Amino acid sequence: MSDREIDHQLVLRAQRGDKLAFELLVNKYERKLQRLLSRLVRDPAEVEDVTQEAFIKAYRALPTFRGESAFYTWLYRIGINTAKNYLTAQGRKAPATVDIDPEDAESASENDLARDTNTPEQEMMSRQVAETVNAAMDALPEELRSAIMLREIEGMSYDEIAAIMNCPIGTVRSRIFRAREAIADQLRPLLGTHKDRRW
Amino acid sequence: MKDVSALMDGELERKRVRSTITRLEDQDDLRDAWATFHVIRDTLQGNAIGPSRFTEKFHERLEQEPVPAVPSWRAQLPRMRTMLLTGLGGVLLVGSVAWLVNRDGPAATGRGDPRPAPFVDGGLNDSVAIEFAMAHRQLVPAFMAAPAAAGPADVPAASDGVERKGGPR
Repeated sequence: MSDREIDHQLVLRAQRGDKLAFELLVNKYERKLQRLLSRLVRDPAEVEDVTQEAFIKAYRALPTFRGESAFYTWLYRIGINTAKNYLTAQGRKAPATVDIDPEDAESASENDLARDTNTPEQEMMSRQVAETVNAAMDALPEELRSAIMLREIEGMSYDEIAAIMNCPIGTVRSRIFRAREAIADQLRPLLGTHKDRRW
Repeated sequence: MKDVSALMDGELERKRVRSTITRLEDQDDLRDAWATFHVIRDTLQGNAIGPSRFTEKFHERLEQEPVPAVPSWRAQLPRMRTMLLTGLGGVLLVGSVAWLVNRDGPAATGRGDPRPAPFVDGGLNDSVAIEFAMAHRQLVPAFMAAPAAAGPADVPAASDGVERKGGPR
């Protein structure tokens, strides 16, 4: 089942009143949406508020989502409209040089924008997160590091990774999971466990 | 947790997706894995954003939100679909019966002959038909039973016992 179909499954559950399913979608897209909206709304605190508002509007509009487009495309459109309305209400205009296409936003590389999105405190934290992930990546056995890099950075399917690494798909699945677990173990003290989180 | 990892990659077998999402909703450790794995993904893709209370704040807001209502026309969709299919089935049934009745050609029903019907001049000339009509005169209009005495077709015979209006007297 494709990524888009899984999003659709979560949307169907949310449409039936399952709020947790919608929170799983929020958790998946919150950083991407914040990054996108930071092109329009520069202040980090405002970006977070506008992103929250966009998710709430998306939740309220769920009954109108029919799955004709990908969920993230639909969500990004709502986000952009929310940001533009916010700026208008503030008597400001969206930067004219910013050309946002929801279809492109998913794949764009945004290291500099990530920096713009953070407050100084968050910037320090995000740098810590990045350093921790990089250190954990360096410490991984070669086959785990290659598997997760091919997946997360090159965006390859398990089939393609299996062909490149010359191993069964089940091995790819296992290597990617083990890599994630190893990195997550290093990251959890920074992020807090589920006991510290709302979920 | 391996299933959560495969789920977020869109690589989980279709038959296991539903149960994995259900477990994901029920178990804190799986939701924690889902959240952390996405942070790792975003960081590796250059979208690192420092931890904030975003999720907690959003959760608090979402708690206040009523469940959005599905529009009534969408709730009615299954019923409308059933009604449409039932209607369509009826049309097909009638169509099938009509086709079966007509498939042997005009001879079977006396209908469907493209040639115009022979013109019958007012009364019944066939002696057998007249005899039949005379024998059943109570059942047939008077002008058929007695063609010679009959007037125009829209004028009732005086003998049918029904007072009609509008006819010549």
